[in-house]
Amino acid sequence: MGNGKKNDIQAPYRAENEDVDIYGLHRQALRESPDPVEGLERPPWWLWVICISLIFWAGFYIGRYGGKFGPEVHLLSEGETVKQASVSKPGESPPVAAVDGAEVYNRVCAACHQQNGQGVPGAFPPLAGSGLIAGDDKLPVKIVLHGLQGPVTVSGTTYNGVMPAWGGQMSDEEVAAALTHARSSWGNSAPEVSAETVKQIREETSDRTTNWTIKELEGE
Amino acid sequence: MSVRPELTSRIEADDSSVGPVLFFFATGVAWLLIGSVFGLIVAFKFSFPEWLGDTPALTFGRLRPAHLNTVIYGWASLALCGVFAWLAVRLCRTTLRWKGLLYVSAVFWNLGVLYGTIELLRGNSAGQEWLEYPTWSWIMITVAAVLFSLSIIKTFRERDVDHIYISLWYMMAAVIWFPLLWVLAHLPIYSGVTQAASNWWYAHNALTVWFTPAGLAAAYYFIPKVIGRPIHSYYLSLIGFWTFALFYNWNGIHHLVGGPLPTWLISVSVVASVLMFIPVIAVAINHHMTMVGHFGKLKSSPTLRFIVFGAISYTAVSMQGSIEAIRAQSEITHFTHYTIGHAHLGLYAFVTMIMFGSIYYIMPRIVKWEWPYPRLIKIHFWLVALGVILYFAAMTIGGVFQGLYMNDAAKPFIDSVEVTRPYLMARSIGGSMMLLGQIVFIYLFSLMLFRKGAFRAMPPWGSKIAEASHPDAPGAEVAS
Ligand code: HEC
Repeated sequence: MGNGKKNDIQAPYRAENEDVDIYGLHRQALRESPDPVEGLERPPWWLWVICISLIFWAGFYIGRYGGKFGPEVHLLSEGETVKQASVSKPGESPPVAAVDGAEVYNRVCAACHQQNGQGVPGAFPPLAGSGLIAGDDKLPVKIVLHGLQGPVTVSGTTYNGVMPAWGGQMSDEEVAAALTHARSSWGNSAPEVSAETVKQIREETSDRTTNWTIKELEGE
Repeated sequence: MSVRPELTSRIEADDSSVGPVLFFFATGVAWLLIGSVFGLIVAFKFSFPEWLGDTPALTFGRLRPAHLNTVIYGWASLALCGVFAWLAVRLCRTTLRWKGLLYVSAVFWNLGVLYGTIELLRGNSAGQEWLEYPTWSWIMITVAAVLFSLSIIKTFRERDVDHIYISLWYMMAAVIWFPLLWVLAHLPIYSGVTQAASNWWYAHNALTVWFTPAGLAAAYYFIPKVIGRPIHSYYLSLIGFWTFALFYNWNGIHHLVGGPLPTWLISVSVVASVLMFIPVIAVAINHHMTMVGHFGKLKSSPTLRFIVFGAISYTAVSMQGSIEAIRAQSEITHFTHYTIGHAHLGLYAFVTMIMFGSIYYIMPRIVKWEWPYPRLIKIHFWLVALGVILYFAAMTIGGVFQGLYMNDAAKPFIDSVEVTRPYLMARSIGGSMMLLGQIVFIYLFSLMLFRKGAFRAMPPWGSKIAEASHPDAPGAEVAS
């Protein structure tokens, strides 16, 4: 028994026809305890309490946050029920109670114009101290809705870049809030932009598919 | 079925599995070294982003998947195959069947991992986390996994026992589930959101059906084995196993909390993740009640030390995971270093530590040579244990800050990067300790392979004399 003949250092001490590897058996018996078996203790009672409570909780959670198993219900967060949550269809902006302008600005615009409104020299114009943003509110709204390209001079420096159009991704409220934030921060102090203005301009310019150039805007 | 005397069958079982087990272990250990070096480079890159940035193969985007894949498919999978091959045979009280298949399987695993890793370093990734290996690689690993399972299933069918011990339940479940999962996840039928869902369904289930059962099977065997008493409760084993099977495979979608999936899918996954408390508590009670009164043995048995560390980590990582899945927490810690800490608590502190413990037990029995330097085993343990604790603590705390900063719209993004810097450095130090410990382990392992190093006599289990003469190892074990 045992294929490990090569390693069988006990071979010389064994009778020739001995088929039980006495040494091996002893080695096994001495080396380790018998293979484990399973005891039959009862599980503690509190394990059942935990099980039952968790299963109740599970039913509650799926009932409340299961979105009625609708394939269209997305992004329900812990505090919301199906009614409050936005079941937004493509193209429709989610219902927003009060949009935080600073939040929208930091999320959308700050990547280029920076959080402090100073822009990036040579690439993105500053919004702080820009005459355009603090002037007539129609122009900045148009720029945000449809983008801007071509040379533009801000505070004496000429920029020639492309700002993408945001109209497709931002609701009227968000555009208004972001611009209001930009018009009232970093030393700018222009009146707020209302969502109605944005809505109106969106409708007037709805057939526009390309970016504005500054000439177009100022020529009007 | 007749039950043959246990001693004889143990000798036969061990003798029959030597070859494949050594093959799996030796190559697995090699991948552990390679994978850890990748991992450590990646860790240091967070503090020194330009370091090695000029060589395309050594950039973050390639090394990171190379690290992940070598440690899971190279090290952890090969090590667990070795443990399965040895343990299944023992518990079936028979000899290893279709042994040739296991050699072929080991060769294919290694080829698959080798080829896949080279391709990843060359920039050819399949692009989904945990499924980065290119097509040929997954074909090779499919062959490997199927052959491996066939051999283990055949061995199981030839078993000579009346009662199927709980470890065997987990192992058989794993060898049936894993090839299925692996093939299903690679079918070219998913796209868009479904692909994200199938991706995470796979990634989490790789833990469910492969690594976790391996860790639990080993823990269920070695804890009672080393301390020499029965496992606490058969009923708890049953509750643990079946609730594990029922809940765990739903967990994957919790990786997509906040993602564009129907809410009900995510909610069901959150619920299943929380229900994992049940199997985890059942297993924890079972292990703890078995250990009670025998914690002193942790001092003398390295196997037990590694395995108990792993078993405790299992409880910790699972409970952490259950809570992490809940939306309120996920909103903060998802997409931060916190998740990486969690992953290492699972794959290192739990699975890898258990694999170390198992190898310490199995090696002397198959090479018939005792671990030569018990002190080095101690050094190995403390380096990796403290290393992974430091790693985990750093990533967890750093990750929470990172998440809070990212969610704060008033803070610029860069603040959320800056705040993690000291934690990332601490992580690199923890990682270095883990690598150092592993080098000690690999040195010991190579000595064992060639039966080199100081000769030490076999320590009889439970003898007081042994305890005196083998200060590191007695009671049940020398390093085993
Ligand atoms: C992708 C980068 C980018 C983002 C994001 C961006 N912009 Fe711009 N923005 C530009 C560039 C580039 C210009 C200059 C275009 C040119 O040179 O014609 C510009 C110009 C402007 C101007 C005209 C400045 C002037 O004084 O003539 C305004 C106003 C403006 N952006 C507002 C916004 C607002 C509000 C947002 C957020 C909704 C925003 N931008 C987001 C890149 C961006």
